[in-house]
Amino acid sequence: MASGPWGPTLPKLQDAAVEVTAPRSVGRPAIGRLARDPAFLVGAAIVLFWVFAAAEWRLVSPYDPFAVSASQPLTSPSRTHWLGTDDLGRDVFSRVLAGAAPVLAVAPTATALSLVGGTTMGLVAGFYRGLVDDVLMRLLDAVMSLPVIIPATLVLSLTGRSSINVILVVAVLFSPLVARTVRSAVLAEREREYVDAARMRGDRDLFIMFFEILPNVASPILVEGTVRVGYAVFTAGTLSFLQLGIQPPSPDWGLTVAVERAFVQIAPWAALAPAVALATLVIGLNLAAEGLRRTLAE
Amino acid sequence: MTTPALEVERLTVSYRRSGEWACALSAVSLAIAAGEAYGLVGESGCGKTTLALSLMRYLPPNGRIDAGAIRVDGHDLTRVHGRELQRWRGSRLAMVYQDPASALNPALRIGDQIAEGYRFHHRMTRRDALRRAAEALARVRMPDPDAMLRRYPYQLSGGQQQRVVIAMSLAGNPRLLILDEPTTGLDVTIEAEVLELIAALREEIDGAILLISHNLGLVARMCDRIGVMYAGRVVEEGPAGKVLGAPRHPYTMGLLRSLPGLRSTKQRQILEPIPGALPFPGDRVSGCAFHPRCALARDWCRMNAPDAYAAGLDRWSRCRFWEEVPDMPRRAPAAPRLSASQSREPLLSVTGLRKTYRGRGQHTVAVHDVSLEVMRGETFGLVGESGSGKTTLARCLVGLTEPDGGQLLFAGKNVPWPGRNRGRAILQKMQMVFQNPDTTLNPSWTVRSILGRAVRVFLGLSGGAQRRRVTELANRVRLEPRHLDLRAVQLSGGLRQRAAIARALAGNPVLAVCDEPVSALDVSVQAAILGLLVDLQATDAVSFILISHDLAVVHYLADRIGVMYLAQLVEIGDTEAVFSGPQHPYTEALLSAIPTLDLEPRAPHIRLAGDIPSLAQPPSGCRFHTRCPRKLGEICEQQKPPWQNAGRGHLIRCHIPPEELRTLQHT
Amino acid sequence: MARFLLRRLGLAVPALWLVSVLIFALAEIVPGDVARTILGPYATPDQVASLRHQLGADRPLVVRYAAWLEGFATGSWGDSLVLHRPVRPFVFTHLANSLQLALVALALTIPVSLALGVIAGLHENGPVDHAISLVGLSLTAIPEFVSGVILLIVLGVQLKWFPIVAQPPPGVSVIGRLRYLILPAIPLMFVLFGYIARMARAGMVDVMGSGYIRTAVLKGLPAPYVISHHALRNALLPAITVIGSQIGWLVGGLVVVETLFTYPGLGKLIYDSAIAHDVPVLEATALLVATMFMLSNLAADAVMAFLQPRVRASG
Repeated sequence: MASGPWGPTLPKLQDAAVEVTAPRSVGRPAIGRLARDPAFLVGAAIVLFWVFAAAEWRLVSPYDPFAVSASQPLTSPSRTHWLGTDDLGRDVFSRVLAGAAPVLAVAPTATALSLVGGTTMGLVAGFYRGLVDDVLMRLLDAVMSLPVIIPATLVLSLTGRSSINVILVVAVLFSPLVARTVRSAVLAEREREYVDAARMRGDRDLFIMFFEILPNVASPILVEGTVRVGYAVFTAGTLSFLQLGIQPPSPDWGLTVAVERAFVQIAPWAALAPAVALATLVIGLNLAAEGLRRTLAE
Repeated sequence: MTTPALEVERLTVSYRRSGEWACALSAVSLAIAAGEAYGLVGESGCGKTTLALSLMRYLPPNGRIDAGAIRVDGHDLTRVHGRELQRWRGSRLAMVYQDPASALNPALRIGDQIAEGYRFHHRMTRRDALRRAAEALARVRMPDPDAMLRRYPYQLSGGQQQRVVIAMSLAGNPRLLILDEPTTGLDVTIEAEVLELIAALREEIDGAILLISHNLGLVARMCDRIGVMYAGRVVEEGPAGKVLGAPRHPYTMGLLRSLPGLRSTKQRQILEPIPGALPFPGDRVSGCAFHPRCALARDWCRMNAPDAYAAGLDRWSRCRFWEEVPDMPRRAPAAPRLSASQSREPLLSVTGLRKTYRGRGQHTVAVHDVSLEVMRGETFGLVGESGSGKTTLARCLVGLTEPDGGQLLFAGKNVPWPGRNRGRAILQKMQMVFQNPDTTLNPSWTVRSILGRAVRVFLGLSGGAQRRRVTELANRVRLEPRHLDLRAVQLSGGLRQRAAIARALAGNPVLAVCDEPVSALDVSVQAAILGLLVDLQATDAVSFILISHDLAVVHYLADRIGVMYLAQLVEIGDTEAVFSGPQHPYTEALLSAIPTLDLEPRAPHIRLAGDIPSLAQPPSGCRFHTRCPRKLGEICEQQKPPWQNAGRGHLIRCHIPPEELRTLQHT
Repeated sequence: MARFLLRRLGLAVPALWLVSVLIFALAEIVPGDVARTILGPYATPDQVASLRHQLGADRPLVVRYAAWLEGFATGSWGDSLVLHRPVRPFVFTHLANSLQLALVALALTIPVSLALGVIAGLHENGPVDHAISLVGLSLTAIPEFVSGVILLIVLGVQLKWFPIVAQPPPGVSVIGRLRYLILPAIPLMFVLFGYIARMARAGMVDVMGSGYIRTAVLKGLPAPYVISHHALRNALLPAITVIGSQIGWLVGGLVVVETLFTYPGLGKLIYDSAIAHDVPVLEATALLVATMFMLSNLAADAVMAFLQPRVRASG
């Protein structure tokens, strides 16, 4: 007999009531639980589909995404062209499949770089505190106080438009957020007694940061990373849309939407398809991140 | 016979965990008459909190009442829902529980929070309700109730917050008042205040009082009858004095034998832990739930679940063999091991230790000019409440916190304060055991790697020699080899603490500072750790500095004691000398405040007025004068008290000479 | 409270100063010779030098920076290199437009997001929660240009409910303006909804598990009262922080939406001036956006402090 429909959410009382006083096994390993989480499964499936497309489009796409055909621009979806053709007569479906490659080259790389940079900064700031922390945090605040688009636009329009530059810009602009997350986690961990115990072994700061504390903040970093990849796709796509990144004739989705936008009244499919593709990829990544977060939080 | 105010009949409650239903309460029955105080004792996981929440009908979504009835004044609460349940709660059912700070909404004023109950249940206007709230505050002896109404919770101390919660609970003149660990987490002297308040308020409460605690002494002091719970069942019930003085269930007897009383010391008594481990709710044990750990267990116990057997007038026990309990065999030898001889040679000498924290424009002196000595092979107990500075002192000694002044001599040599300047050779000789078993071990490392690193760093061992030494350390703290490859999350609190002790021992220290080593552990596990510490001292002549707020533990383990109040040492001396008197008035109050199991008549409780002053603005002259019941007068406010010698190294910092204290304290 | 805000201001100002350095560096140092860029590759060195002198670009960096900063603070923001008009007036016009759009987006989003987030939090892990969380997650994930394009096609072109060029003619009433602003506001709503609802949900879940909610329920107080009086003011705190931090994005980060719907806001202005190397406009606008960001965060902090007595008093 439960408390009723408005029953407020209570802490899991059996955990409060039972302090572990006997050795117990950990239970099903986390990976098993992850494999059962519906959000993660759906998200992972979507992501894997696009990874496959990015890797194998040469085998799988019905037409050559780069083959220009003057005869049939902007046709509607049909038996021969499942999603129609774009303004240069290229098959939209093939271009969508191939477009996964540039997207999936940029976003994970940028994220990985931002994780490395952000984790280091977060570790240092959270561990040492004091002046180092203050200065670093002000710097990061400064970088974060402009919406990402602004510095990205500035840098890319000034230094040149290419995938590499997009990767670097996104990496630099995402690091502060990662650093923030890592810093909070580190702030909590450094007060714990096992850190004191390590000091009492005479362990040096660097050792403590990387071997004692870092393993315990790994799980928030992992979740943050998965979320960041989604945002990286989002941001890189936006930058491509603004034509600040990779250049034509790449089938990159953002770029394609920008180019095909002009023909929206005649052939919406050409712009719609890559847009939807991008959306599904980001949703998939976010779902997977959500599943991961839920599993690790238990 | 009148209807009991509370009657629980065969209540069975389960939780769903990971898809399976686990039984947390198994056919629990009890009855409390109006005006009676019933104490429910047990360790973690026995189901006492579940029972409290079931009575309030506040189980989480994954809990349910499977069977049974809960009757308050004859009405079955299991059948009450929705609006009617709301009316019951807050008017006829009330609950006070642990951690008063979390029970109050930080964003609302105290007055409004108390007045709510009156407004909803008695339909009063806000003004009338606030007036009643002020009256309620006066009832719980809150100074200046009208001003209190406008304050926010963060402006109140822990003791005051708990009083507010108690005032809220009494708003509706409840028929059932449940107190679930109401004083756990409060300082000893504050705890005594709150308990006294509850005892005084009993006169005014018509209904039944259910007091839940793991602290047997507290329950003994406050309650008429006691029930002992184990694994979701009540295993013994009866009048408080009789149950605790002459138990009739092996578990109760086991608990009592594992507790240090105020008369036991390590030389005279071995604390006997109950072997095995507490079961989880839902663990299926055939027959009697306690039999795997019971000294009286036999085949019958394995196969049959015992009933409640009458065990005397007005008491019963859930053990078929209850008559044998008084003669229950002991597992440990009666005579303790002789400890290695102590010398009078100081191992550690601290002089003039000072530590001040500079906050925003505030100076907080955490430790003010403390000097003490610890001899080889002895245990020095450091006692004090929050703000006393004992933890800061300990951290300065081991090098984790750098003080602002003072000198440290260790084994005759001058030692720098900061840990990183000491070098590993010294660090390994002076180690620390921390308080919180949940965070004392790195959750990502296995026990083997934790111990292994300590061994490698201190003894320079690697490979096979390292492995052997790790195994040896584990044996000494009675960890099994299989525990070595587990991580902290897979171990129980007691096992974690053993691993932490093993880590401290890795480099063969001569001094270990133990900061509340057992306060976070269950009673039956505490005994095992305390016993371990005693053994280690006996075999390896390790000196300990034991920090604890639990005077019984200190009395048991410590050879000498130091008492700290508000960043200063106020008394220092041999344990027996300090406990028997004469004592500093603060020590005296501390001792009288502890609820103990000694059922002999004791000196009346000494009430300390007010709360512990803030460290940022300590009182002038003698720091204790604001609360001292033996204050002489102006001299205490203006002059710092001198150290007075009470003989044989027993020093008391007070204006009253020791002989006079002795006379005053013996009446 | 005043002390608290002053301290926050004290922390924010250095960050703002650092931003100004960053902006200056990106706008004036990185691209190299401004004069060369304007005049093109065929200009003679003399012409370049003369224009440089005219622009004041031959002074040392620090002097230029100081001059720019001083100019910004006093309101003289120079002239646009492209339009040859004073910068400040038309930047402020664009600011006004951005603020209007932001207001519309927030007004439409905040009530719905908070309400749904709270409901999701109340039914944690129930079907309602899963539904709301899923929708929120999905909507937030869609880049603005994606949802913008789809909306443009569906609502603007096919159904013709809303004009696809969001430029209300002058003299139109407030309600009339609204019609033009709704289409660009929708993609913003999608993104905002996810964030705000998620924070509201998390705050709610947190608060409902707290001790004082338990106390309130055990006092027999009715559930709606407990939620409205006890829970909400504490549960919505994280959501308020998020809202504060999003205003900066709403004012200056909407390059995509403004481009898609041709809306004359600050984001588009930054983009256009970056492409055109119109340095005075670029610098002024970017610093203005950063200032707005700081102010909105400060405002959010003030609201938070107001709702938390302990923070209010400690300063």
